[in-house]
Amino acid sequence: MEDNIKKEIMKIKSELFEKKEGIRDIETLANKEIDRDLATDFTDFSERELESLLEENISFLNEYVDPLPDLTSITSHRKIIGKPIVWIKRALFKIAGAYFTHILEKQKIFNQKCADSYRILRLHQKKHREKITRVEERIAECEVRLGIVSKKIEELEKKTGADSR
Amino acid sequence: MQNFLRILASLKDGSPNALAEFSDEIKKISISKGIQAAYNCLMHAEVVLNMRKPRLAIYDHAFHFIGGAQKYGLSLIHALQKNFDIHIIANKDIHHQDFLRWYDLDLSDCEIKIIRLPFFEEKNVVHLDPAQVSKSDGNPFHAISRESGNYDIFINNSMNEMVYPLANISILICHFPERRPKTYFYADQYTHIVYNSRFTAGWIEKKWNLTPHKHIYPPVDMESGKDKLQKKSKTILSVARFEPEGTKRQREMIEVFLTLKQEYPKIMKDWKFVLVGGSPSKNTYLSGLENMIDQNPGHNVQLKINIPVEQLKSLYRESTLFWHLCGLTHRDPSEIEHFGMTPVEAMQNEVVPIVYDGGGLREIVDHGENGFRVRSKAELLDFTLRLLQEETLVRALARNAHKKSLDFSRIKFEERVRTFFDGLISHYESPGTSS
Repeated sequence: MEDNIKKEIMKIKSELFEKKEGIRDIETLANKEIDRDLATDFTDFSERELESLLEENISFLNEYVDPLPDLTSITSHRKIIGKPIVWIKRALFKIAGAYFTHILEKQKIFNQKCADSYRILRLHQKKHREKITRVEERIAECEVRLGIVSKKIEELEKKTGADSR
Repeated sequence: MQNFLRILASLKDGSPNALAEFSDEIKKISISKGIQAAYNCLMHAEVVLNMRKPRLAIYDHAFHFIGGAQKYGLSLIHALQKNFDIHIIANKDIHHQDFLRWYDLDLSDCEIKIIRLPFFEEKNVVHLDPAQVSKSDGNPFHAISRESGNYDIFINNSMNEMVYPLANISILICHFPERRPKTYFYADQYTHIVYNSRFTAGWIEKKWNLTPHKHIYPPVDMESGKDKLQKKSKTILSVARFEPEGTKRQREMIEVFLTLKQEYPKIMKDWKFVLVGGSPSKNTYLSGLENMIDQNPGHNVQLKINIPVEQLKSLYRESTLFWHLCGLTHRDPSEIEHFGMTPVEAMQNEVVPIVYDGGGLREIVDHGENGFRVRSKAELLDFTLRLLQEETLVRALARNAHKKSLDFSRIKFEERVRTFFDGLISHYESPGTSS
């Protein structure tokens, strides 16, 4: 192949490589949106997957039980006037908060009950699971014993049949 | 892209003005489809014009551990070394001597590239777990996504769908789809999904709603050779990791063996049960098994932990039966063998397998022809008892087992890999076909 073609391709490739290395964002490189919100259908989840999902949801509920605002989360990125802005915001929150608190207090109680109910259900489910495991083990043992007894009966029948002849 | 391929074909044929057209087309592509797309076109052109061998990279976030999945990926590139310029991408230090020692694979012609991920380096973890990454973290694996765009073919061997492929040809090797499509899920962006068993393929369809492309069974190479096979001893063998959760069901197998010993002492005279496997240093499940054996002395149950390969080979050569109950009372399909390498290893040494009837094991053992498949401890006991009393049957099944095991040899694996990649690359090297 001609040298000039090789050189031209190497040159363009080198330029593109430099540009490519300067791009950090994958979506720019891929030239499309790559992250999507994927809906999950739980109906065909396995037992272990459902348990894991339940634990995740319980953790989430516990974290978000209290709908009342946390005043320490009010901040400002501004350097000089940031502090007075935060002070004013917190003061306004306290005044308005007196009105919202009695509504949100009921919501907090409701949330706590929901979170507690999930935890109770999870515990209940764990105990059932343990029971089922014990029952399965007993069934397995019974199957083994039944197999042994059947074989011994067969042997006896053969022996009895042979003796009678 | 069709226009680009037409111009590339003209360039290859030596048409005048083709070079100028080519440069213009690259500029147009970089504007309309982005820099990576234009770069990919140039990569493609270099291969079509025979300027270099195709560049291939394989990535696994667990290359620094010994594992079946890692052996699969490395065996795959071992088969391709002559025709590709290969890079092995890892996140932790790894050396060619490690691959030689662990898998007997000489990959010294492949360059190793270590890309550390700050997200995991800061946590100071040895095992990089994708499940630790949440949406608020930003995707730490995008460092690998960016690197993938420097190759003609990028292979993701790592059971990690968080790597977005930017190469012209991208292959996701799926050993089993553990995760549901969730945060940073890109399995559907790969041009090909390769799977290790029909069982795995079924779950790719169910969990990911994707149809995988290519089936290649893992390579198994524990064959001793006819001249090395010893006279079989009265040994039942099990080879499986001693997982802390007990998913390989060693406890259940020991229970069956002890029942056989107690109920059929004459038939079971001189028979021993040897359980071989790897284990982490602290393992309460393994301690439980040791207690169980101590409480039932004189029944000849032996545990052999983390033994060298040569000792394992010797056990395969002398054993008569092989038990494998992984999958019994499973609560998730990931607890069943996706394939089952150790039963194949046993079959390669004429050891008759009795395995759980589920998962990839159904593709290895044909019930009644080259072994048995069982669904309970009772069935395991039943079929074992039968074999202990029918030597002729054992010999026939052992011969058939060996014959079946040849389907899973390293030679067959490498043939299938080369056929698949030859097809991919001949398509890639021909201008007039799409990238």
